[in-house]
Amino acid sequence: MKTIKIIGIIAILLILIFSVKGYYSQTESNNIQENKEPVQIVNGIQEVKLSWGKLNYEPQEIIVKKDIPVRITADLSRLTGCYRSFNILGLNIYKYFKERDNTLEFTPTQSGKFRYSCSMGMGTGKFIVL
Amino acid sequence: MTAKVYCPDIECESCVRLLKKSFENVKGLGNYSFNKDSIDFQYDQAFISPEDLIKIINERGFRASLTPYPRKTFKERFRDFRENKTKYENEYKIIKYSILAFVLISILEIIAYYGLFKNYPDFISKYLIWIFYVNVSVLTIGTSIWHIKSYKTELTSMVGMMVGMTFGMQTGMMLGTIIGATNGFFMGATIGMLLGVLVGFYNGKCCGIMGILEGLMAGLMGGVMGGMTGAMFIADKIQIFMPIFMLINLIIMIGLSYMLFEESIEHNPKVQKNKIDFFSYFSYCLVFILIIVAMIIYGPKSGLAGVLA
Repeated sequence: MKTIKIIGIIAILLILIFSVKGYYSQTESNNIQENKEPVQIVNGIQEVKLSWGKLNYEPQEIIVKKDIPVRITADLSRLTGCYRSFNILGLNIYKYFKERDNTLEFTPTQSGKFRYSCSMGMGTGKFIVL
Repeated sequence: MTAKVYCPDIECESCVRLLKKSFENVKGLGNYSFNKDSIDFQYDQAFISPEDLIKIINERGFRASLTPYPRKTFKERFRDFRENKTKYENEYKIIKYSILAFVLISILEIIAYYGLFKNYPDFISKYLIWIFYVNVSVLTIGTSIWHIKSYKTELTSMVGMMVGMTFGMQTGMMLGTIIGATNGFFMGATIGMLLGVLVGFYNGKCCGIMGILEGLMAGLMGGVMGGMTGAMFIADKIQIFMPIFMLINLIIMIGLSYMLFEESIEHNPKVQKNKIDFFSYFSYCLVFILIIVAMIIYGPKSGLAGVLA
């Protein structure tokens, strides 16, 4: 009982000391600029091919431009089972790719970094809107 | 002569076997038969009295009486709880202490946020709600453990197994789900399982190997399932799921404390109240919360949780 009280006091002191120290030494963090090229635009549409790579979706990073339509075409010979159930979290985009309907079209109106995944979150990747 | 001795703690064949063993070679004891909550004895009053039989049963850790044990309904118990503050002194203290600990830990976390994480990008949107859930989970589990420890009493094997299982499962499920959502399946399942097993073992050991095994198995299952739930649910509407999930877990832990009071504390003449020390309880909870929050922030992230980490 005594030991845990001492550990508790040390924990409180550490929180307070590090917080005060941290408060005075904090510097503004710099935002790392994305230095990558967005996907190609064909006939006014940003074309993305979604497939299966090494134990995860391919490409791992999809970079698109804001306010230009995006078309994601799924390679269903590589994407099987529930990996065909595709979500972009934070943009409310959901699509279940089928043999006769393997494309998803939408226009991103909000820039930022989002996560895309299958419906169970086991296959994942980044969706970046510049 | 015949006597009916009420014994509400007889729960399984093992209890019956244990008591039968105690009745062997008792001079003056004739036939006896076990009922659901009582034992009918035939005895020779020249050698033994019903009080002696009660003593034998008590020595084995079971409650026994010549009058039936009244059971309160939930409504009656709640009324008794409000009216009888001395009887429920420990429970009142525990409720006060847990609220106070929650407030103090939240204040420390706010200080730590302004001191250490203010410039951390998206800290609030990424971690705030999860740290809140960690606080609720650890304090709920800590409070329930403290409730058991605030009484000196013997638990029957069945109650002990229930205690070990509930603690193991709830710890694994709650913390596994939270860490699974923030850090992915690997961390959620591993940390949830380890914490579940640790808490299940600690609480199950009051009742020997049966309680320990039940605690270990429940911790293992709860931790792995919790990690998986958190990691997979993050791709769905987890923000709606979590409050309901936490509320149900909270009700289960309150239910466990309620069951313990009904089964092992009420009408038990051998029960003693232990002194509850706020600072030890607070320190345990704080240290566990600190370790878990540090793992959430600095620990490895995988799967969907690792995409933007």
